Amino acid sequence: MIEAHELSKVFKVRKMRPGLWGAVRGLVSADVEEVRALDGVSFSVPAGERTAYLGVNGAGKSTTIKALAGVLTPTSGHCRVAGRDPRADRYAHARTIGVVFGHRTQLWWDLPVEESFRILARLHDMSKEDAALNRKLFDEVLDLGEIAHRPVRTLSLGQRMRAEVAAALFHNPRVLLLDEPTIGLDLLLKEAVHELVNRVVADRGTTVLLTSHDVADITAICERVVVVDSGRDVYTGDLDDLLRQAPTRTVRLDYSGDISPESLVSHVRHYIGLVQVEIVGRRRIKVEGPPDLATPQAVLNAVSGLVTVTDLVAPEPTLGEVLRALYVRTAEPARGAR
Amino acid sequence: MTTLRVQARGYGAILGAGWRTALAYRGALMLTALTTALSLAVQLSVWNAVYDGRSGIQGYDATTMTTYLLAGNLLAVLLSNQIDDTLSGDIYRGDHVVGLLRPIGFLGSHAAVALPYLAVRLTLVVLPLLGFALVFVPLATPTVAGFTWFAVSAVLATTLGILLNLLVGLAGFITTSTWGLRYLKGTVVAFCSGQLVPLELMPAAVRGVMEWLPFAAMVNTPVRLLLGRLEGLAALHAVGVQLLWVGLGLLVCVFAWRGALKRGEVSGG
Repeated sequence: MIEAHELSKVFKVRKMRPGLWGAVRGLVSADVEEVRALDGVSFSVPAGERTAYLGVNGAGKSTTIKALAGVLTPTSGHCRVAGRDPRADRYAHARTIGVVFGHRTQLWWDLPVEESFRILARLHDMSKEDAALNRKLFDEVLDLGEIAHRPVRTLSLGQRMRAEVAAALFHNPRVLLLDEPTIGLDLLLKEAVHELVNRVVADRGTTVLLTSHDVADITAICERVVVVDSGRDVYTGDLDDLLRQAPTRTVRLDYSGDISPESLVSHVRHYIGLVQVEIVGRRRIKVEGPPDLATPQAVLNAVSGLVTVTDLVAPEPTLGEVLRALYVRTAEPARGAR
Repeated sequence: MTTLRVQARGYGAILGAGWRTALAYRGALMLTALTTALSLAVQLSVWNAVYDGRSGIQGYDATTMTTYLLAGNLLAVLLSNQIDDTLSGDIYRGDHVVGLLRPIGFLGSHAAVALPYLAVRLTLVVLPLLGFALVFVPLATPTVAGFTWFAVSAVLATTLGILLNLLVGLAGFITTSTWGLRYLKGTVVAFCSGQLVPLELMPAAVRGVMEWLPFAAMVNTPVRLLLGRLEGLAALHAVGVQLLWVGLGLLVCVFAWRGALKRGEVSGG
């Protein structure tokens, strides 16, 4: 449903010289710098799938979303959304996709929210029944009723984002591009957005590509992940597989017994090997190491006969930890190449 | 056919939004009416001083000049449609991408927003000021033919105003801020269109240049038609020139827009 092939985008950016004198000099001569926002990104998202498109700030996420939305021309490479070049038939493409740019509004600034939905229904040639059905659904999930009569410019960021997400989904698009869709929302509203997206996706088979710095968005909505770094794709696969790629696992052990904590730490370290063991509380130690070594079973074996285990916790690695490790790993070869 | 119907429905929606948006700023409209009235009062006082003891200048008597200034300034109210401001502001912030995500022509939708805006200005600024002037200020009475030519010509002048503002707005793709350009446009249009001084009163060389520029078609042509100073073939020729400028303006806008799309860059994240 979404295909990106060797997408690259180079922006020419005018360099600003510092200070007043720099500004004056800039009037007569300007240095132009090339910024490579995308450097050959390739990935695909099958129909009906929900994929997170992740990367650090400046990795090229929003540039990719804009290229897929058809509002930005790639320098080279090409992309197709629902079998169509986004720039070839803009009107048809606009009916196929729904987009949320977290920091931009697609609603009419001076008009009440409900008026924006009325205009969107006409723009997308929706039947009265479809429009009414969607309004009902969005009212139910996002509680839009309370802001329906207020001009968009008077809404708080959180209220506006609710309306923005609803507006992106309003015309039943086949593809949903979400660029930071929960920015500014509190926990409850984030969950409401997740619920709405998941309900709509489940009912209508919408394909979703999401960029977000919020791990909760990714884990709540997506099943697949594309990770970009420095304009290139560095990982494509299932979210669960990515989580399993965590370079370390942690096991926390609570115990009772007469052995001194230092002796226990030394024993566990010696027994398992190549793991870090530290005291993290009264009668509590933490074992951290490679996933094949730092397992609950290995820790239990190590302390067997020495102490009584009162609790054993092996938390799943967070997506943030995994991504951090992935970025470091992909940055190292690049540094080595220099 | 279906596509056309859908497009028409879309433009209808945009027009509707334009109406409500234009009416949302009633204070600004009152201010426009006030500044136009004040500007007119100042210009009329200046010309009153110029006419002191004279019966006419280049065939303009005091009443004809008053009518010229009134019609010219009221027409100028309709040349200002804010498209340049909103379009360049959107480009500056990168918000024009939202317009690109709608299944409707980008420039067409901006032009469509201008129409209700102009209709509101016509209803709430131009007509009240005209009504006031008709009661309290001695004015020349146009002929039916003159008024008919004026009506056609004023529509073309307003179209030119929309196209010029679209072009100035699109300049936002080239220059970061269009403030200077918009200021320059305001000054050039006011002077070169004949809004402040009829072009016929300018030195021959200056007038020669001005008449070759599109700005003359924005005020000078329609007001001269209203006053019966262009009749018959001359009127037809003047309106023909206006039509040519509109056609040329449309072409330039389309090419500028295609160039901007090809460049296809967006400010901000």
